[in-house]
Amino acid sequence: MTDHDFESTVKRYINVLYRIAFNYLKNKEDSEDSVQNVFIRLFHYKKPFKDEEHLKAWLIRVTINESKRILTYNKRRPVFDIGKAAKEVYVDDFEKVDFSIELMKLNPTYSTVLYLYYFEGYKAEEIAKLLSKTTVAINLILSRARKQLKGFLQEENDE
Amino acid sequence: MNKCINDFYSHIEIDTDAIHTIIETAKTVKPQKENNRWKIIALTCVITLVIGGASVFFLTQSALNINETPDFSYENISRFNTLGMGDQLLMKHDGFVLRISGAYFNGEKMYLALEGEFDSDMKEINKEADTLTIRPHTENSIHFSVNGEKKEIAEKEIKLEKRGKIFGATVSADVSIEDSITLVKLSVPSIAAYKKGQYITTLNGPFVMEEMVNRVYTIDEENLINHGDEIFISYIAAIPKGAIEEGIGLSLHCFIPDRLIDQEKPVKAVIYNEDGSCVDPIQVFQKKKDNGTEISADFGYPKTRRVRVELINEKGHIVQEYEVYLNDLNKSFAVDQ
Repeated sequence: MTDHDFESTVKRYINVLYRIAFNYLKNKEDSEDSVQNVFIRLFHYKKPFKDEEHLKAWLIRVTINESKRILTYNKRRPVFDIGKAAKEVYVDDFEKVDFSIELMKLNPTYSTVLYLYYFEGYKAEEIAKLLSKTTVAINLILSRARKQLKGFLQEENDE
Repeated sequence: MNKCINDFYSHIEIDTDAIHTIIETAKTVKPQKENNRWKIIALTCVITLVIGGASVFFLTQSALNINETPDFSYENISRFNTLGMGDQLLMKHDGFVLRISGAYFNGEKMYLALEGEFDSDMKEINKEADTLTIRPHTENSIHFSVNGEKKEIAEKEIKLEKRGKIFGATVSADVSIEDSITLVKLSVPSIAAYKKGQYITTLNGPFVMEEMVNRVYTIDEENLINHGDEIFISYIAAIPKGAIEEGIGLSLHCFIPDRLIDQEKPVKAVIYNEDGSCVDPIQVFQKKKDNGTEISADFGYPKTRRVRVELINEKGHIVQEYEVYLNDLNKSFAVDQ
């Protein structure tokens, strides 16, 4: 991979990977560290990628692994303040903070599946391949995550 | 919801300065080399030997205990995770999460493995607890219901014992094979915390879980457990209508060893209704794993509760076949019975 190719890949995918890392690590600093380590590995990765999708899938997979590694090997249990993290995301719109808190309370796998499905537009079977799960499991995760968030939104509307 | 999710993630963006730093760092820093690789390899070997030895021991034991009741202890129950369960019971105030980590239904009893854990908001005193106790037979106590019908918990008192950070226990209830298990409700008003037998505090609930259950049934589960026979189907799940995706009524997972198939050729999984007609296949995923092939397949709704599953190799030969009696098809049937 040439320097130019590498820079263009970083610019293309950095925010996708950053959001996935954020789902797991819930703070800016660790998420940046995670993404940085992923790109260090990419820069030194020798094997060719079959196509763009293969590259993207590799990056997502490595980001998830790296984020989990940061959580476990550094023994950083999730002692973050979700409320603070949500306010960091919505610096200018506090009305949305409550929803983002609920989203961040979800199991990281759930929020990552929601992100890939809604924001990145992946299909359930594609997410299943990315996360080494069955399509049935992904659909169950989607259904449960939606249910949890819907419950919250319903309560908000009732209030 | 779609809008809210998209809106949230569109706000999470990395700083432009950070992008530049990351590019420069990646070019100058080498990836960390694993300097304790041999330690990891040695540890992996030891773990493999221990697990292998334990597996041989348990298989031998189960082969010898043909007529004895299978061991459904907490440690073993995760092996029998044959019900697709809901997630967790959340306690709002004391930072305790109770969840069902495994479930098994053997045609007479339903076993639920419970797991509890304190989160970061826990009260200081709770750190000291070594046992948590739920007493089922008191007023407003724990109850367990299947499709709205109350079921008596067999245990007089449920002790969640500490294993590392996790508290665990197993509960069971008599459930008839005719029960259509699609909804399980478990509620716990409060849990007492003890340290070395001395009461220290109460965790105030309520913990309430009401979740859809996907009935999962493997033919001859008892046979598998007691005789150690080789059965390639890990599970076949009858899925309540609309629970996962419209049109999916059965989900099958199996693992077929290489010696039985040509690795390059696909293996087919076919499900037949009792009248011999096929249940519509929807999607199939095959993946090479270890010394075999893993297959996950989804099917439409079966017409009958008794179905036959055939695994067929590339030559059209049946590798293995099973007759399966599905339990909660009242909810899964596409047509009224």
